[in-house]
Amino acid sequence: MRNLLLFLKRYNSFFVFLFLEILCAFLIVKYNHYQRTQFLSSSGVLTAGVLNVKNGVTNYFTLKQQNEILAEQNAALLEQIINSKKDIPKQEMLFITEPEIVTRKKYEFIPAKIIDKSTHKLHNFLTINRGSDDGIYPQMGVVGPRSIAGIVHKVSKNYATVMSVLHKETYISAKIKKNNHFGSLTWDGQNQFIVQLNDVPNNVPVQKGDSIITSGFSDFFPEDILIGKVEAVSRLPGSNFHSIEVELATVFRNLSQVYVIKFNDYQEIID
Amino acid sequence: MNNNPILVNALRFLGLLMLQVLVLNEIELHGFVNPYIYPLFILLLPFETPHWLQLLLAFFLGLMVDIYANTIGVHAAATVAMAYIRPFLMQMFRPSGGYDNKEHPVMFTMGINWTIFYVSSAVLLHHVILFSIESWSIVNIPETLIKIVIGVILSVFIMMLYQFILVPKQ
Repeated sequence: MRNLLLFLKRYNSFFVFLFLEILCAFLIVKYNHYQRTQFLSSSGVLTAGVLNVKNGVTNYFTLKQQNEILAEQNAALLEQIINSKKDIPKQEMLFITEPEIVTRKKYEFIPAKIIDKSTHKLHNFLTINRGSDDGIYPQMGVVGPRSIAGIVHKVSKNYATVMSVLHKETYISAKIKKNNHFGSLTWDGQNQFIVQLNDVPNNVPVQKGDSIITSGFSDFFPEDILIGKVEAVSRLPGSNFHSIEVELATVFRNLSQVYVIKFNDYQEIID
Repeated sequence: MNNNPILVNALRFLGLLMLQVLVLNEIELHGFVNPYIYPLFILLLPFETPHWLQLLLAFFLGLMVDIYANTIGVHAAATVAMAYIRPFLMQMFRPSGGYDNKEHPVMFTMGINWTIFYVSSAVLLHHVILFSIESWSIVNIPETLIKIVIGVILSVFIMMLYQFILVPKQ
């Protein structure tokens, strides 16, 4: 017994080291590999408070750029409104009364600000300043001014973390705009401007510059939101599928304003 | 300048943590790698700090960085490992006269050559562990190696700069 105590005393730092490393390994597996960032993630009140203050300062540096992006989006929306009014023939418009349009609103957009983000890791998250008090729940889609940004992951009272498109375990259902062929969109963790479109068979014609849009199959995103343009197509030997590189329309580095999409039929569909 | 070692180190703990979280985590060179300065806190602890205390401090420092970066446990594991080998590094780079009447392993007392060897070998170990855990696979070893090399160069550069500017010349 005395020898054992002496042994422990002599090598005490080694045992502290061993204990701490085992604790770390446990934490890594629990909170990182399975992405269960329950208690200590950046949607926690304490850290989010600090990040909010930091964001208050750093926001000013990109104001000009943000303004340009939002103005660009406004212009695109105005264009859409004017064009869609022209498309509906006068007779049809008579049958749709105003209240009905309002009650049948399928999607709502909740504006949110990004207060923290990363783009250089394999598993990137965004933290936004809206939480369960604003009607956010996990699995909602998040879009930026130009294109999709991610999927809500964890929600606290006033903040939420969003799994960015640049996250190795994010899967998004997408399709090629010109011929409506579906595929799934993933990120290989290498380049923050490029994602990969998988599961498109070899016989489907794909060219550089084709637009990739959301398919509307998943509950996260409405149909026909632009994701990006095809950057390169190659054929893997021995595979029946194209290997397609897609250049994202969202530039994550200067993303700051996003919209969380509230899908009003979500509850009905999962029931 | 106040010479109370506990106060100085507590302030350094907070200062380096905030510098890391608020400033350096924003630097993403080509979306590829960012420099780390917080391990310098462990490297600058006085010589006679008990080893177990160094390990515990390393764990908490790493965990704080992790909480802000959403990577619970990763930085903590790397920093604890670095704190564990610190006494062995000191033994390895022991100058001929030993460490007599020197209290802090800072550049001003130890000289620039000693500090570069000491800091870069510790940071190398830290970065190897950090990036290996982050990539969590053996598929992209070349990318991980490049990340480690560039990361070590950047981090050591910033740590030396910090010592030039902010460590008091006692």
